[in-house]
Amino acid sequence: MPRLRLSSAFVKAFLLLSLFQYPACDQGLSPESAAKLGPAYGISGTIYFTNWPPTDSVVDLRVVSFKNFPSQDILDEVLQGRARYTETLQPYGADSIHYKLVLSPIPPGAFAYTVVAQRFGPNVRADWKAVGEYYANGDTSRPGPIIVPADSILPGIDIRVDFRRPPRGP
Amino acid sequence: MSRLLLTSVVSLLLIAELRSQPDGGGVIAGTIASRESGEMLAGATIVLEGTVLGTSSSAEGGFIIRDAPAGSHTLLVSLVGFHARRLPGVMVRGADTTHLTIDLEPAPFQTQPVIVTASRHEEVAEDIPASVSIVDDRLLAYRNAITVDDALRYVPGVYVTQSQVNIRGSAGYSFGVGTRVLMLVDGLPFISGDTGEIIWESLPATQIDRIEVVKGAASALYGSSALGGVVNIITKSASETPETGLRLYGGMYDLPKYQTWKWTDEMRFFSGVHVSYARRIGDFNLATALDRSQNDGYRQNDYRKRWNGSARLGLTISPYQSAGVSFSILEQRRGNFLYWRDFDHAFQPKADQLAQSVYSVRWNLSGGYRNFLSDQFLCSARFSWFRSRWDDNIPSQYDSAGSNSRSDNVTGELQGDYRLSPNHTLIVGFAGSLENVDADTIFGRHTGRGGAVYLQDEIGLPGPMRFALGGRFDYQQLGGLEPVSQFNPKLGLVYRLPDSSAVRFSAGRGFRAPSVAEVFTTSTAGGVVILPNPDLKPERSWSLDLGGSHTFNPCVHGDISIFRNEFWDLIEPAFGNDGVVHFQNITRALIYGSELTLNLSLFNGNVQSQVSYTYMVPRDVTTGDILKYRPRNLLYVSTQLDGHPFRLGVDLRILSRTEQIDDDFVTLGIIPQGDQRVPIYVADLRIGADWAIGGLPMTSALHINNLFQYYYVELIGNMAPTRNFVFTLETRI
Repeated sequence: MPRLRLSSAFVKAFLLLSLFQYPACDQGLSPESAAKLGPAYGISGTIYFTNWPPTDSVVDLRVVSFKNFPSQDILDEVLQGRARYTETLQPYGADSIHYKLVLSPIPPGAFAYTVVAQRFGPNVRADWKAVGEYYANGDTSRPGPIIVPADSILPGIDIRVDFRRPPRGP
Repeated sequence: MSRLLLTSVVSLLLIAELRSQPDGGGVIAGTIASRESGEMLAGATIVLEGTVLGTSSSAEGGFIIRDAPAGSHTLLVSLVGFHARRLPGVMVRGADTTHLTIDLEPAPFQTQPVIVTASRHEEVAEDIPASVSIVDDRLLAYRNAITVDDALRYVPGVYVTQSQVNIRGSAGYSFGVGTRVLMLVDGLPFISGDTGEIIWESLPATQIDRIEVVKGAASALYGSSALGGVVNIITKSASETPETGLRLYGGMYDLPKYQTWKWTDEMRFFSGVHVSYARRIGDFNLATALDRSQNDGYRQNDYRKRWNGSARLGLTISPYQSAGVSFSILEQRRGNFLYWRDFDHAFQPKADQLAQSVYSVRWNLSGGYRNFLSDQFLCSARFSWFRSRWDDNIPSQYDSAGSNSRSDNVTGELQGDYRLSPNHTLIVGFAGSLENVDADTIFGRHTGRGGAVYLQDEIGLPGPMRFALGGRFDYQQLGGLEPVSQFNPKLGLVYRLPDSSAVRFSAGRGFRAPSVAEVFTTSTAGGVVILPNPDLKPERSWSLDLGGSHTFNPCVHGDISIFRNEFWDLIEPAFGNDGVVHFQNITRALIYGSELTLNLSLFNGNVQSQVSYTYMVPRDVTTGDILKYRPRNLLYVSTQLDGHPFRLGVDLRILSRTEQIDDDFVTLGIIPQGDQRVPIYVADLRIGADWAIGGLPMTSALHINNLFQYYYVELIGNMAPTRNFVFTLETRI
């Protein structure tokens, strides 16, 4: 291999090729890129459990909050973006667990229906049921709406779950 | 089929005995030098055509071929960066030594002069009727590629999603199951029997002489899985003189820049050591290697600890017969990182994955036998046995203790190459395969069998045209399922023009039989239930490729290709109406596009640059949508400055944002914020030097990968590696 003779043309050529390769000074993804969607707001609270069923019937457990009181097709509300849910909660056997549910970017304000949902079978679309509902002011006759502020996580949204006595649901 | 193979092998051995062995033989000795500079050339391959004899030139450019039969021979001499040379009329008389001084004309570009994958026999690169890219050992070393998939990230038209390799959009992401790119090692399939996936880490990059990537369907020669193309790994052979190699590397990952993502204050390190030894002893050649590597991982619970070992023994039985056997083994333990907890914890898995790990032991035993039954007829037989065993402690709904699998994939081939004239080669072959899977809960117990026959006729027509026509018939049966069979034809044309140009065309059909995992998986992963689908049909495809290459001047070489690949019954995991994931024949797809590659060689070859751009339209014909996990644009730029003793290189990968992903995984809350993705801009920098200490040649290099700490995902919920610094040190004696 012949020895390299450095010349200004050589250096310029290499720099040109190198510079051509660096259009990317962006940082790509960032936590802020998610935060650009706006301030996070939502709800938080404690779920109290009683009468746990066998472990293989609790495939998944989440808190779900619906903007509108859902019709029969709960899944459609979720897929249409009118409901938000927590990641899978893993409290099996515990008496209680704390949760936080970010509801943005659904517009803040009233959320008509908030439940703890249990998936009891393999069907990720159909094998769900409500096992606990949020009731406002101790009124267990109907699900309680929640007024969510636009700039904070609303605490104190506690839910009681009795697996033997699930609510009737929508 | 097995009886036919046995009969053929016995016939072959009988014929071999009929060919008389020479009493001793002559010697061909000489030197290889550059025609331009007179510099002696190391590493050139010298082959005596019509025999199994061959060698490579030493560090001083010398070579010796012993036991050459008396008579007139043709030598084929090749070396990366030089034009291959064919030397007819080399006379060997009795036990005399024939001395040769061979000069090679430098090629302006560092291209591989001889390629074997495209037509199953050695061919000069310009004569190949297919789009082919090469990664040679020099590039592997420059980039400090640790596993093979690392080495493929800058190949034009190729991109890697996690560790799943795609050629021109042929595959999306199928969780590593059922590859549409066939990986071969020295021409034999190297995929696991259970999942049908490529285990890249089973073969360390340090064992590789070169990687040949053939784009477009190649099932006409290689059978199932070669829908998108073939990656053939050619392993290193022993040189004439004993060689001991030692390679050390160590590095660390940068921590994430954002406080939100920082999950540890401890630096994350990785390191490895590779030792190799190769020598010839009489008619034997031996090559062994041992690798140890460990990686803390840039993400939580994403560690790896790995041992690799390999050994190869070759024997030159006579000038016309050779045999060899190889063994490689991988032992690995790694953590489980399926996807992120959520976007605020992008470098941490879900809590339940933190204690999960996978332990695997995989080994491969392969062997081959070659016999020139006459000057025109070469017979070869090969076999490969790939055993894979893995155990994990990842609980599923079906097995709370975790899953395990034992699988064997045994393949054998018998091939005859009949050279009717210097421009006419006929290839016929038989292949058989046996898969055995024992994985109680996740895949069950199944046995698969297959057989194939293939034929190819390659003719150099009068004038500058070459023509290849061939086909392969495959038959496969898996478990108690209906057997599947398919005939895959291929056609190739090359027209060479006098002004250093060539035009090529190829058309071929491909197919892929579903793997055991795709048919029989019963498991849960991240809250998703996956159940079997015994009704899966094989995938099929047609590939068309029209291309041309031209050397504009000694500094610029270009290659352009237009391709159109149509697929039927593509298998992808998807939620069924029952809300459960099955592998399904859901997609009919059409992928068309073009690819442009420019090679620049400046300043007497001291600056080499490659720019490649691939544009694809990957469309789901059924729905009209863009296919999942396929970027439309790939732009790769690599520049290497070689100013002895120093080297400087920069690489850039730009991939446009993936338009479609598995939306269900996001909307159903399985992967929180899984839709976060951006275009990919990744720059790598490397600086190296060759030096010596006490006469011991040393090569050292510093690599900075992901130089600008760009955060991106290749797969939903999986952040790609952060900036990392690697220092390597290598010596050979």
